Amino acid sequence: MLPSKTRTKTHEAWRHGGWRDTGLSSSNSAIAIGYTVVNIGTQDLIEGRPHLLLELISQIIKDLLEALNQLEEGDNIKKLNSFDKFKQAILLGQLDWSPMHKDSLFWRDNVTNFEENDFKILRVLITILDTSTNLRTLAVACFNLSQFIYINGKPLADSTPLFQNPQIGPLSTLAVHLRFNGEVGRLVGTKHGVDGNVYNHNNNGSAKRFKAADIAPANATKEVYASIFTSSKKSDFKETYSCRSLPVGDDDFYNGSPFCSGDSGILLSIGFHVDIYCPARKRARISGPLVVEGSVYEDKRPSIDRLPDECLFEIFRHLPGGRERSASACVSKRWLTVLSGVRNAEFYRSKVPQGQPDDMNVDLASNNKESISADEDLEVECDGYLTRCVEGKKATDVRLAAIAVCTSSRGGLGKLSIRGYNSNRGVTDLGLSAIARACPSLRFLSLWNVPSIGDEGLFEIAREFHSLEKLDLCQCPSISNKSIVAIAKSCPNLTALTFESCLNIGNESLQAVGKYCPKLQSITIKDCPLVRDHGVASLLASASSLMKVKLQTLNISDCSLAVIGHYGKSITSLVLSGLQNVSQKGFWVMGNARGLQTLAYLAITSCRGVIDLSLEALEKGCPNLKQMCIRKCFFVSDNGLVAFAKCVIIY
Amino acid sequence: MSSTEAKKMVVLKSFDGVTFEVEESVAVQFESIRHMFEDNLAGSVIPLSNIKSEILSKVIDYCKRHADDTTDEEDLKAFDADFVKVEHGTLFDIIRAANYLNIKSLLDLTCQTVADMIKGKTPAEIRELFNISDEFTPEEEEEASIITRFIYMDRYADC
Repeated sequence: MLPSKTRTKTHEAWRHGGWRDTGLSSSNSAIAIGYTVVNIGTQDLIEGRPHLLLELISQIIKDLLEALNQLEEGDNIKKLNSFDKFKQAILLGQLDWSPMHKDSLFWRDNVTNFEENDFKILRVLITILDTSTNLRTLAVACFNLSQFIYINGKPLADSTPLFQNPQIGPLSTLAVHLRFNGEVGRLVGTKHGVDGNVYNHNNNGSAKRFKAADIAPANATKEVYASIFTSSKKSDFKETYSCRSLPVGDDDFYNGSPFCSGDSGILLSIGFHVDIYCPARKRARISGPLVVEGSVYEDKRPSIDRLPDECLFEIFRHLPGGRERSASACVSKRWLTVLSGVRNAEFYRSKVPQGQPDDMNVDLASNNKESISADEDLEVECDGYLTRCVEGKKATDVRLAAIAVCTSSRGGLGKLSIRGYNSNRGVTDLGLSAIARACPSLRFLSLWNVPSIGDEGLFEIAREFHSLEKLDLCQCPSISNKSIVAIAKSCPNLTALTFESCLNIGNESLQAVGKYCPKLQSITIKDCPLVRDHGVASLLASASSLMKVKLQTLNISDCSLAVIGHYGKSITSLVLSGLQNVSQKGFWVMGNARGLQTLAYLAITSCRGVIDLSLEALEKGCPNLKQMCIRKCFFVSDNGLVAFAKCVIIY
Repeated sequence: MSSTEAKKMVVLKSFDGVTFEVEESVAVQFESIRHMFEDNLAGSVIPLSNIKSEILSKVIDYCKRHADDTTDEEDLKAFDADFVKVEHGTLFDIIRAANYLNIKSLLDLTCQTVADMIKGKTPAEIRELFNISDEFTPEEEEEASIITRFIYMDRYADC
């Protein structure tokens, strides 16, 4: 309430000034007529005192103009997006889709600020996730977490010991899921059995409604259930991810596997309502009693859906051949899901000889010849192994599972390439796991531009593919050292390795590859900011059979080149490109180390360190050099080239 | 199990409250409740809250036949063949019960039966046969058609 003195003043102000004297400028308002406006009460507004209102308006306009001026000065966007405001919002627990959420610049600039006070903000975010009942707040919190993980570029567990807490770990994984499984994650919390709706906040701004289809089991009141829905153009549901953060002590994360066995019967019973591809975690038998739904027994036509996944699993194990498996995979998503979880070795060996002519299939096939020739994805290679390549929109988990099921009967794939991803339902670790189980003999794996595949998928590969020979990773930001180390340990036959623009692959991976893969012959590393001298040096020092080395746009220095020069005894082809930190010393040492005895092909592009002197040294150090390319090296003169010997071709 | 020890009886109680008294030699085939005998709990009533009496009696019947050493192989095969000639609903219930009780031979038998039903059928026929409502969503239809193509691919590869 206003003090009475002020009120009198303002009343007087109104009387003296009169509304006719006022205009839309501050000079005509209360101040201009000699009164100081101390405060404007609600009563004044209700009574509509003109000059007071004008004073108010003019003040607002002044403020706005000031803000505009600041904007023009350019410093202010950051001010608006400032981390402090962001922090304030989080600490207040009132999250909304404010502009900074969409500004990737903000995230990049401030990602280090999150580390303040031992990741206070992240801890608050996690608390919000755990306790908030406001759906929008939950969604924004989840998005923030995922953004942080995405921009930070490494798993939370690596950032701070805080996230090694099993209670929090799953949540961070959840957040990653959100980020990678949809434009912006929509979070629907079904806490305490209450269904929630949330408006989808995606780029085109359209709002769609989703309803949680999950039921919280009665014995799980303390657990936080969250379902994440990604949007769909054609129907309300496309994919449902049901995630669960588990209480302390359980470090498993049931990413979208509500019907996994070993859990309560309720989960089993809702399994097939949830439209999702996820492999059944069939390995444990049901230990608790199943919940019998009375209504199921009243159904006149018995449905096989009533069987839990592990029973289906058993049935599928008895399927005699690939044809039956393929046909079953087409029956329903659930069947496909379960089928893709059956390892090839787990099928019962069929007693019936395979390859018998099957009238029905011959029939069907003759009608569908065209569709086969039209399918450019498929290609059977002549040299004995199958090749599949999935591209762009077609790269989905369902397809990978299909490929897994359909090829497993013939020994599995030999070569798999995934190019790009489907923005709605991209390939995730689940799809890759299905492939890993079905195709233990895969020899060539190539992943290009699949940000949604992370360490989990590669761990599965490390477990199953022991005969992997070539691994090609390009633009896979979620793959980190951990999985590469696992692969290196379990795939001793690895001969070729390519890392391109993999933000999280660094020295550790290279070290492990050098240590565990004695057969490595070819390595290409391009544009991996975490790869430094240490990694390259330890790889080259231990991989004795390396023949082809390609290093592009890396932060390595002279030291690496010295190691190449010294240890690269079997290197025949060497490509160095865009190594900005390498000086002439590096090339000079590489030549003079006299290790590159077998080098026949050398290409150097955009390296400032190449000068006449280094060429001379290289010439001396590489007696078998047959071909050499030098591009964009501005410090090479005629003299250097003249000093260069016999059959050297310069482009 | 020798027949002299096998006189101990075990009482099983089904979902709808019917009790069955079976010899231990039969009940040890139920892997999941075997440890109960080992813990010397024999004689107490073991509730099987998810198996109907009708199904449980069938399962016990099967186990009795298979526990009997005197039956010769031919007879047993004929019995098995007869045993699975039941309607789908019953068959599925037996699979569930076998899975729950962890009776390997019965599970193999029944699963093989279902697998044989699947054999030589198209996906649509399988759906019809087993009353599966969980079809692919329209979005998945394209995916499904791809899988179908794989079938033909496989067929070509076989030829």
